Amino acid sequence: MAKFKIVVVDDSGPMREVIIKIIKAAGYCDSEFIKASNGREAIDIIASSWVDLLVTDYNMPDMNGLDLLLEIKKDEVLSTIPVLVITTEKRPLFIQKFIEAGASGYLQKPFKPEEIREKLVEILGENKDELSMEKSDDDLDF
Amino acid sequence: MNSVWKNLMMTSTSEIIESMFFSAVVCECLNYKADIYNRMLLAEKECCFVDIKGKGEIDIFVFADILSLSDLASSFSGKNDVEDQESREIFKEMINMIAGTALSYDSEGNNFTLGLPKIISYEGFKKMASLKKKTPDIIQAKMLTGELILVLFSDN
Repeated sequence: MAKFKIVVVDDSGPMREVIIKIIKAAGYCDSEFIKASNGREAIDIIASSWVDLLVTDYNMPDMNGLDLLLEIKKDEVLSTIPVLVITTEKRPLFIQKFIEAGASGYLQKPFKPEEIREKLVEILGENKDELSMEKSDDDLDF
Repeated sequence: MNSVWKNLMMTSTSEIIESMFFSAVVCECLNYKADIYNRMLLAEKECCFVDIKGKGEIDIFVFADILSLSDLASSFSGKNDVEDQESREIFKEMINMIAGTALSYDSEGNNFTLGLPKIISYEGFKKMASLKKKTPDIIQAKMLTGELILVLFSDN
């Protein structure tokens, strides 16, 4: 069973919940989710335990999403953690800053489950949960 | 404020309310009249403020009554009962998305920065509004269960 460990960083508690719901709806329901309300909290989390993916908002107090990304990329080990940025803006220059800083992907709010699924497959690879479910269905056919 | 920004705000408000809060919405610009302005704003409403800075500054105040907010928060979170504090958090997120989306539609390549949304008191709003030299633009967003009033001050 694929069980990813995903950190969701957003200063809005309800938005964190919605992002987690949408990621689950995208097929990653068995993943473990850790919540952080700003970049500093996220750094503390990823410095103490390994995670598969960090999903972050941009506009947050204390440490915003771009500063978080830049901080992660300074560290040889932490820099290997993929970062998906989810924010309200889609100005090309704005997105370019994140890509140059090393973001693995970028999504604009509001987004649909299929959009996030596409990004997650791109970053994490095909979800094995779904593959195993498909396999089970095949088994039933036999 | 130029009409481009008013239109951007109306477009982004409709987009966010419809896609994230699952409510039909109709936006229109209202002419500024002090009596209408006071009647709309003096009612017991929550106010959320966010600013956009860059080439010029735009201050955005959004008013919503508690019941409308509660309905919107339920639609957003998928929960029947939402605490007032959580409703306010969702209100801030809504304004963040509306303003951020409006910025995304700004095709002039201005280097604007979006601030952090804050819930402010009516007294706070009055104090900030009293410092403005121009009359604001007002947008009314009518939804199935209430309305949002957007008050926009621009220094250009």
